[in-house]
Amino acid sequence: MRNSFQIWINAVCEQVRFRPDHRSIELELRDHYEDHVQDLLRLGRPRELAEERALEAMGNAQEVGRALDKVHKPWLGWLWEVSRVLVLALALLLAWKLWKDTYTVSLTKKTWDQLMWTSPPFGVSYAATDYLDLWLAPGEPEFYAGTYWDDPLPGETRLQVPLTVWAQTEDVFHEHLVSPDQHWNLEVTADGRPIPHGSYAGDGSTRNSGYWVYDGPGQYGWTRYRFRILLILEEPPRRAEVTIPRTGTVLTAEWEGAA
Amino acid sequence: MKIDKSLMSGSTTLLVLSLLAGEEMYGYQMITELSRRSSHVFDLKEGTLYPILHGLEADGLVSVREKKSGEGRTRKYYRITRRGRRALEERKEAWAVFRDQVDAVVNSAAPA
Repeated sequence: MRNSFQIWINAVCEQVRFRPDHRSIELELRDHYEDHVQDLLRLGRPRELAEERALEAMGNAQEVGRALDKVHKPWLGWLWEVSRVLVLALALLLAWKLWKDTYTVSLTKKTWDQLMWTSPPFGVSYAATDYLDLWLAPGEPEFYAGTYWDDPLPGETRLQVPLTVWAQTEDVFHEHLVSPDQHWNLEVTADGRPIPHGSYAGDGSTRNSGYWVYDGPGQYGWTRYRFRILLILEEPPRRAEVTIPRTGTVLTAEWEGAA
Repeated sequence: MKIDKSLMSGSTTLLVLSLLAGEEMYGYQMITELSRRSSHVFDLKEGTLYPILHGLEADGLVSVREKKSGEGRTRKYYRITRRGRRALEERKEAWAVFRDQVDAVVNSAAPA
């Protein structure tokens, strides 16, 4: 009798032109049929009779199939399938694009950096401009042989003196006077000597120059960021000054016990 | 008394939506409930319920979710949607008018 049901359900599905729906239709109708058989068995009917009655109650297979075919329209079904594939493809494309898009990656990092922003230490040089609050702190000079992309020339060691700058603004849409993304637009002196911007990578061959190092987000549109100005010097300085262009604001950093 | 199939066919949607207005149900449950509530008068050919349900789903009048039953079988449960409830109210009103008018005609005295 189970075979009889299979014949019945096959006859139903034959009428439904949208084949991808055959399986779910079969499962649902089979569940129904089995529920009915179980009910009749509980009432004490012999299995064969129960299966016969349950099958008979299902009705005419062709009639049921034709009615289902009217609902499971092939063009609608295929449109649905194609749109699902398209949506999936679009989602994958978007995911791939996001993955490849360095801006998105950097955006994530910058957002994280914003959250992780640490306040400048107490007592460091501070100035307020129209747009920005700025802090400058001297860092520990270090001899650096390096192993990274901005290494000194082979066999050389350079003296690096970091200046840490914190910047904070209320106006996220303002193009800040200080931005590591902009050009070297600060005037920096070490012990009175101007320090020009070296190559961005700071290849170590240029003494008495400086370059930016990103510590935190420094792009336009952020409220808080932190970065370092790395000075490549011949000897440790006593004092460095950073002048903010157009404002004349000067921040100073002093090293105690420097030579 | 069994009801003629043609009398049933116009009102099956109304019956199904009415059943689902109370709770979500799976197909076989609807058949048994329909039979019980109509004192076994409405004896729908069971397979024909599914084109109706699938049609209601396509029209957004019912929604479907799969749920594990007590016996561990995954069943498709149908639930009436908000749109389905509005449709049910409209069909109920239409049915009331239809029933009254049929009664009016059937019970009216034949012209002399």
